[in-house]
Amino acid sequence: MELTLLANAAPLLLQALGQTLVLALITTLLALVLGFLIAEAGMLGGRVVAFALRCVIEGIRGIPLLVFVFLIYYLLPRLGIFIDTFYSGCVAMALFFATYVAEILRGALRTIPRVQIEAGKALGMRHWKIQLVVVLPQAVRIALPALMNLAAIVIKATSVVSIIGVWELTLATNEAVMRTLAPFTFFIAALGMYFVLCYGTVRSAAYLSKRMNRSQRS
Amino acid sequence: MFDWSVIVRSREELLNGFQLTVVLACLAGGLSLVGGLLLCAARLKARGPIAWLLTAYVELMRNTPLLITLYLIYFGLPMVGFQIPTFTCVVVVLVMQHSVFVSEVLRGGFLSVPLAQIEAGRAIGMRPLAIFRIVQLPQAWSASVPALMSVLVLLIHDTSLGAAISLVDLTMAAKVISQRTAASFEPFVAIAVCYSLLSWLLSRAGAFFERRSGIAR
Repeated sequence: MELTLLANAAPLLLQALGQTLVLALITTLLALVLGFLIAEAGMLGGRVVAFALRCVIEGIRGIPLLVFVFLIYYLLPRLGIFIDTFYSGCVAMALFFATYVAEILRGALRTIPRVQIEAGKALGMRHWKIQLVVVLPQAVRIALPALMNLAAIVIKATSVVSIIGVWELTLATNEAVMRTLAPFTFFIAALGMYFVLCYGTVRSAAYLSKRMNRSQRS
Repeated sequence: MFDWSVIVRSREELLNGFQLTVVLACLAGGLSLVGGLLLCAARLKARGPIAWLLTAYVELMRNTPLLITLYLIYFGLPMVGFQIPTFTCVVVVLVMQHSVFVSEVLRGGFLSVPLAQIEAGRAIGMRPLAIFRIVQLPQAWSASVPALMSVLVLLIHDTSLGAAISLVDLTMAAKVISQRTAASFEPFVAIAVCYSLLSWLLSRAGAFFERRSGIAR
């Protein structure tokens, strides 16, 4: 009987799973771009900017994601920005995880030898061209395992925005439970779906880091 | 545009929530440390199907959102005849999740102690418990302290999810205030400051322990 319930709700849950994936994808992409910009600004902007960015990063890291999501959710309308809850959740998560991306990239950007940047300058390349063509591809290679682990964390974290009413897997599961009063069936199904996504991401991160170590050794 | 007086007006609610969050974090944090140590010991010792089961549990907990586990326990247990208070439910779920994180950190610490030292201990006639206490534990501890502190900070942050099942903690207090008054944004700034303060205090304590345990290396 329980399985029939699950089968009936399957299309809805799969749609919600898709929504979770879209949410995670938008968040990750935005966080990557923002994080890169923050890391760059920290390196270019001199002491004052670096210090200000450190304060912001540490400040955001000191508060729970849920609280940050609420802050953005209520702040945006005050600033005259009226957007859908879905995008409000995206913005909050992207800003939150951009601080993590910035930290990861900062470490990776440092490992690129300065000589390469100087060589780029000697060739007459502009700063952004050096960054995008010379530095970033190598840095991303180094940071990729850490970034993919972060992506797994983002997938798990998307469940939090269900609390402000973004319709994704967690909220859809919750609604299904309210309707059917079968918590075990649906929450275990949701656990399974999240597990497949996150475990898959984490395992491919481990595989990638192994492969990259191999190529670096030879 | 902003009405900060609402924070002063509803300070009692916020303080009550703060108190609950601190109690919750201390209780769940302490239990997670103990549970993590036990789980770590079990994972290092176990062989065969038990080891397999423990690994499955660890991987499940690491790769699924806390919120789903929380809902599963909160809505599931009454279905099978267990009525537990919301607070207990949140503690149980936090401990379920974070003892796994703690055990992974400690396991890394124990595995970082070179095998040669354990063999050397055996060679000079130390008992297994003495090797554990004098050789392994101090080094594993000092290797794990920084990562343990970030697990505990994460635990403090995860207590906020209790608000999803209406536990009246700091986050719920802000939610209630923001729904009752027109000031929807301000209470969250107040609790953000509270959470930052807690995280900062913990990281200071971590730095202190790190300096002290540095002697063991």
